[in-house]
Amino acid sequence: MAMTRLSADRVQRLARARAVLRAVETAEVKSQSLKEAPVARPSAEHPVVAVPTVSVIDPQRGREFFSEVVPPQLRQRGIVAITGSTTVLLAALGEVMDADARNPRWAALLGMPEIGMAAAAEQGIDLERLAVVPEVGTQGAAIIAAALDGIDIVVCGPQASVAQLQQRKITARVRRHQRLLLSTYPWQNADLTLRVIRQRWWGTEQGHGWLRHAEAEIARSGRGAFAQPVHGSVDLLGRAAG
Amino acid sequence: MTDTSAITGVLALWVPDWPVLTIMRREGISATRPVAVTDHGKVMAVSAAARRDGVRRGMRRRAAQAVCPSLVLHPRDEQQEHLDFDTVASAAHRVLPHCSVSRPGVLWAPWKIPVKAQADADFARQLLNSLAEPLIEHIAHDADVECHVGGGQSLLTALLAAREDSAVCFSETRDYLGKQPIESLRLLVTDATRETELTAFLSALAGLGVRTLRQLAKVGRTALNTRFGHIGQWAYLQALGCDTLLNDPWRQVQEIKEELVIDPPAERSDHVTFATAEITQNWYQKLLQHSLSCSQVEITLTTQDGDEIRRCWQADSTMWGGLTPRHVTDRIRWQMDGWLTRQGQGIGDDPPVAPVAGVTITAVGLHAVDMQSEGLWGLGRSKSGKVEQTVARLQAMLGPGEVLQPVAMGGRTARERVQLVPWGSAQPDDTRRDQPWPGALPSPSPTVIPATPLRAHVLDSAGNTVIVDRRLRLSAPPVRVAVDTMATYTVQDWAGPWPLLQRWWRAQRQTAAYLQVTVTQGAGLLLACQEGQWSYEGKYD
Repeated sequence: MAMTRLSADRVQRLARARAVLRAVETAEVKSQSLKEAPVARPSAEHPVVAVPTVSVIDPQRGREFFSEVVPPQLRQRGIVAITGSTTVLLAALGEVMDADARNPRWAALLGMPEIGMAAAAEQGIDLERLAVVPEVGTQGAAIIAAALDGIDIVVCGPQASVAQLQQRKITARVRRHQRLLLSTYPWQNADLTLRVIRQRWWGTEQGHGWLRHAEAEIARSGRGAFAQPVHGSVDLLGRAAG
Repeated sequence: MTDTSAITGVLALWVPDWPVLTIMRREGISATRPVAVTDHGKVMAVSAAARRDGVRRGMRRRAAQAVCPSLVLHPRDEQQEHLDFDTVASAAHRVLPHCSVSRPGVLWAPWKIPVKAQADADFARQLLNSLAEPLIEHIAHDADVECHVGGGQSLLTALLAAREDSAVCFSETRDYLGKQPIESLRLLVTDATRETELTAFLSALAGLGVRTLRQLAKVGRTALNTRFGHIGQWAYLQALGCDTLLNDPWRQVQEIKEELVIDPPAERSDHVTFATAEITQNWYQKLLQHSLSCSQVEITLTTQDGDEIRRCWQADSTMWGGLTPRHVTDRIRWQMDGWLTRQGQGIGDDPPVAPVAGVTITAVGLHAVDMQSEGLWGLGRSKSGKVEQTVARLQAMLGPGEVLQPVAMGGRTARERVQLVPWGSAQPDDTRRDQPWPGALPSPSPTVIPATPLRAHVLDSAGNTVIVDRRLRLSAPPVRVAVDTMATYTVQDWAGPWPLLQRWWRAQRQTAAYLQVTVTQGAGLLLACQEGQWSYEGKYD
C-alpha cells in the first residue's frame, strides 16, 4: 500500500489520515487501530491478509509518536529492538525516559561510540539522566547485565551486541528487574521490533535551505499480545519548517 | 631523612572549633554565646561557651538544647569552612612553605629538627616556640583567629601536643601516645564517610575493652588487620606514632605531575575546575598505573602574568583512602575561590587577581598503595543511590574514564555542543551554553558522529572533486560522495556550503565549509571541506 505522503497543509493531512483510519477500521480485514488495545493473535480463521497503513502524524503531538507505536505497558518494561534509524531510537528513548513525569527515569547508552549527543538533546532527552559507555570491550554481556541491575533503561548499541545465548540470559534479567531494554540490533524474543524500512530527509534545495524534515516508514512486529504487525510512517522531527 | 644530622617530624597547627568559628564569623555571633554546629542531626562542633554549659560533640540536637537552652544551632557549611581556612593556610605559608591542609582547622608541615632534639624535650620545645611565635602572630594578624602549634613524630602526636602548645620529643612518642584514649584517633578524620567508619571501629574496640592507644597496640598488628582490615592496620600504626605522611622513598624515583594550559585564560573558578577535569583524571590514572598513592597533592595555579598560587592539600591517604579526581577538582576550586575572596577583601600577600592560564597538579609524598582505596570514583550529581552504585560498578569493570556523561557546552558544531566527560566531573557551563553562537550549524544535529572525522570524496558528474572557492561557491553540483570506510552514496540534493571560521586568534584555527547532502539511501550526510580536503562529519539517520 502506498504511504500517506506529507503535504504542506496540516489540516488536510490530518483529515486524510483520519479517513484512512476510518476506512481501515470499517474494512472487512481483521486489523487493529494503533490506539486500541492489542487484539487477539492472527489465527487460521482470521489471518492478517493485509497490513493497514496508518499515518500517525499529528502536529500537536510532535515527537510523541512512540506512544502511538508502542503500547503503554511496554513503555515501562520489556525489550524493544529498533533497527535502521538512530533518530527513531533517540526519540523513543526520550519518550520512555519521561513516560512518568513524577518518576523520571535514568538511561545508560552502551556501545554506541558514534551517537550524536547533540541530536539526543534535540530529541528531548534529559542529558542529566544519561550515562554513556561508548566502548564495552569484550565484556559486553557483563556490562549490560550490570547496567540492568540499577538503571531503568538500557540501550544496547552495535558495539555492545551479544550472542543469542547471552541474549536469553539478559532477557531473563530484564524481566526479573522489570527494566526496559532498547536494542539497536535484532533481539531474539524481543517484545516488539520496530524496523525502519525507509526514511527520507529533506529540506535542502540545491544549495539553499537545510535538512529539516524527516519521515520514516516503520514496520512493527512483536510477540504475544503485540503480534499484530503494524506499518506506518511517522514524522521524525515533528517541527514546523523554519 | 637522608640527612643524618637532622630528622623529620611533624609540626601541626590546630585552630580549635573551626566549624563553629566559621559560623560565628559568617553570622556575626559574639564569642560569648553558646553555639554548636550540627551535621546530620548531631552536634559536630561546639563553641567554648557551649562546652562550659555541657554541650558535647556527638549529642543529638534535642539533647544539646536540653542541656543549654540558649544554644544557637547551625547546620554545617563545609564549603565555607574550606574557603575561610584558606586565609589561615596562606598566612601559615609565609612561615612554613611546605605546609598542607589536612582538614579545615588543621594543617601540618614537615619539621626538620637536629638529632639532638630527638631525646631532649626542652630543646624540642624551644625549637617549636621559635617557629610557633611568628606563625601564631601571622595567623592572628591575617585571619584573626587563635591557633595552637604542636610538634611530634607523627601527625597524631603533633596534634595532641598542639592542645598543650608543646612538643613531644621522639623518644617519648610511644609513652605519650600510649596514655591517650583511642578516641583521639578522631583528630585525624578528614571527611564524613571516614568518620562513620572510624566510629564503628572505635565502638567495636570499646566493646572489647580497649580504651587507650597502648592497649590498642598490644592487640597486635596481625589481629587488628585480620579482624578490622585496613582501618585496623592504620590505627595500629598510628598508635605507635608511625605515619605515612613522610614516607616518601618514591619521591626521587619519579614525579607524578600533570600540567594544563588554559587558553584563553579563565577568570572564574568553575571554568578552571571544568578545564582541569581531564588532567585530574589523567593524573589519577598515572598514580593508579604505578600502584602509587600520595599523601598530598600540590596544586599550582599560574596566572596570565606569571604569578603562582601554590597550595598543598592533604590527601585522605594518611588514613585509608585516596585522593580521588573529584577531591582534587574540589580542592582546585576551593583554592581558586579562596584566593579570589582574599583578594576581594584585600588580605594576604597573594598575587593580584588575574585570569588563570595554567594549572599544575603534583603528587607529593608518593607511597605504594598498600591499602584499598575507597570512594575512588567521585559521583558529583545528586541522583538515586542505585544509579550511583551501578555506575561505580561499571567504572570498576571498565575503568573510571570509560563511563561518561554528556554535558551541554554550547558551540557551533554538533561535536562541540554536547561533550562527553568522565562521569562525576561535569560542571555545567550555563554562560557558554546560552550564548547565541552566531553561524552555528542548524539543528537537527547529525545523529551519528564519527569519533574522528573520516576522509571523504565529493565528486561532480564528471568524477572531479568538488571544490569550494573563496566566495563559497561549489565548482559543480555534487553527484557522488565516497566515505573512506563506508559505502558510496549518490547525492540527491544538497544545502550549503556554510562557512565556519572559528578561533581565528589561534594557531590551529578552524576554517571549514560545511555541506549537507541528502542521498538516495534516504539519509543525510554532513560534510566539511577544509583546505580543499573533504571529510565526513556526521550522518542524519
